[in-house]
Amino acid sequence: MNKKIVLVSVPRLDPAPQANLRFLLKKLQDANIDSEIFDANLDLYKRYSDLPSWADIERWGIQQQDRQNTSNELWQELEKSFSLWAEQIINLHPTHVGICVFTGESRNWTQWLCYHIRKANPDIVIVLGGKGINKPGRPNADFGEYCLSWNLCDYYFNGESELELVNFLQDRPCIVNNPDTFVSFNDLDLSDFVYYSNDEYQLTSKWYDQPINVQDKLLKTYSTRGCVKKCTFCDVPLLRSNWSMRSPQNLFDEIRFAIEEHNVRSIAFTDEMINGSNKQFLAWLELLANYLEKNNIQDFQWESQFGLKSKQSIPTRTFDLLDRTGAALTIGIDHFSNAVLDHMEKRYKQDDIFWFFENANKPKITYKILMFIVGYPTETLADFEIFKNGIVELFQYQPQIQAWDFGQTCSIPFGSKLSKLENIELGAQQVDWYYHNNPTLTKEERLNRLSIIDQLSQEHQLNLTRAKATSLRVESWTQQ
Amino acid sequence: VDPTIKLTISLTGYSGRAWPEIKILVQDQVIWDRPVENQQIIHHEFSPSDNNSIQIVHHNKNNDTVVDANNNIVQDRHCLINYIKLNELVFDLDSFSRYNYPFVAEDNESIITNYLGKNGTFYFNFEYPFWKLWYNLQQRSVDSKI
Repeated sequence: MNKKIVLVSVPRLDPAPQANLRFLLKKLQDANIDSEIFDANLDLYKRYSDLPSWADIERWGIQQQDRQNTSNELWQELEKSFSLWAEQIINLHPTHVGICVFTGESRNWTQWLCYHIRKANPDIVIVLGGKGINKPGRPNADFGEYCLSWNLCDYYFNGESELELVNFLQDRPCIVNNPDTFVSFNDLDLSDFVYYSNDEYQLTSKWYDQPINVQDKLLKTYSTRGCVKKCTFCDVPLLRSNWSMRSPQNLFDEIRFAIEEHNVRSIAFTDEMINGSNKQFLAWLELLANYLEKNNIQDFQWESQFGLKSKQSIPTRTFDLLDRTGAALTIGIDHFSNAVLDHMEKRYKQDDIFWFFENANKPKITYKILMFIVGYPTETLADFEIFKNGIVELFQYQPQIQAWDFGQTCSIPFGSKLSKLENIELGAQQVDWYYHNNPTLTKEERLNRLSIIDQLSQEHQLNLTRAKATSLRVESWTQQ
Repeated sequence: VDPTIKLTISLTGYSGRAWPEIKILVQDQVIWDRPVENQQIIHHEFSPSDNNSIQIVHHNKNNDTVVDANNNIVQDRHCLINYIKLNELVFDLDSFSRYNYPFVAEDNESIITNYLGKNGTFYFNFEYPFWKLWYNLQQRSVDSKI
């Protein structure tokens, strides 16, 4: 019997087709494996995002509420979705269903979708993959093991599954149901184009929650994987130790194709750090800038996570190229105190931050999100004062800044450098910790500092990204 | 007819100056309340409902840890949950953080562990539909072999 796999994107993600699933689809199709994508995430947005019940639906996923704590009304709506999706997936006649558990917030959605698929057709092989398989910040595949135990899935991939899923479906040796080790491939070829249909391009624009200026069509893709930095609070280095980038020419070719064939004017990169290599990054920007100017394309914009560096490490021509190509950057600035920045191992100082903003003050450079950490373990009151002053200093660039993110106070992923700090005591959740060397920074004090920043944000009418979701998380961990 | 759940819990007690006293509640009913001396296997049958909750409570921990002259711990009162079994469905908890079932200590600290070293409650809750699905698939597999 020929195999066919349906790849499923489960809520809750940004409302756009997932580049990673597209990449996986291409790998499968190149290997002549019958495959297609079913996007339950987008379907949920389409049906509910404008309704009053949307907030409850969000809360259900984010807080991973069990059925006991779910109202009957909401449960009926959710069950309707699960049954419908299961039916639609089964109607595609797959032998296998591959569910992408993108984050921990996708777990509740995944387990109930698995249940409904199983109930409707127990012969379909269910395979799970994605970062939500793991305990956040750890390599242990606790959710994979949980689903396997309850027979909600048959297999799970712990780590990057692009190569392994192809091997698995071709009955070749591969690593499945491996609870302890996150598998990553340093030599993964990232060069395949991510093809969307015209309809999907339109969808991305329609449903993207914070559209960048150009409202036309959006290509969601990626140029890099991993991060060159090893910040103490981050889980990216735990899961993927190296950084890799597509060749500048290959990346440019994909974008040119999207512009010429689909009239795309916006690119959203899912990268963790697009500028890990100045040489490759600038080479790509040069190609793009020259192309846009030669073809007189004015209304173009791209967005990505961008790594701030010291002024010695950012060539000055970077700013000109960012401006010429219409960059909308998401930057984890994190703090303004040099003592805290040093401890974080950010490899830049306060001066470098202000130098960057001064030089990037150009008409077509914007900031999609600026991210900060309130209540880092070593943060003293004096550091916090510096932090507040730094925020105020950035107000002058407010016209360029689309959103600010102050998180939920510092969280410490298990296994990160911070979690191994001497005299740090970790709780069950990443935000639940106590650092004995900084005894006044209690949980209450961290929340107090966050509320001071919230107040500052309100006074200056800052646009906070996903503020509702963040406050939900804070609500969730303060109730314990 | 809903299938009866045959519950098996394996515990190992370690004594300080006394054995750990453990109370087990299934669907809020106490099914066991006594010291766990060395290894104990506890059996219980119950009908599943919407609220399928198993709680394992350690409640007599005090400061009776035995230390040597160098302050090294020689004996410490605690209890390990080795596994929880529902019919043939085994949750091997003796592998650190394999699952996501929490132990909530009296001071409200919540840890993913099978090591009950403080007073507190280990929670193992499960959704009834998942149990029923598992059971039906198990039966299907048995039937197909017959």
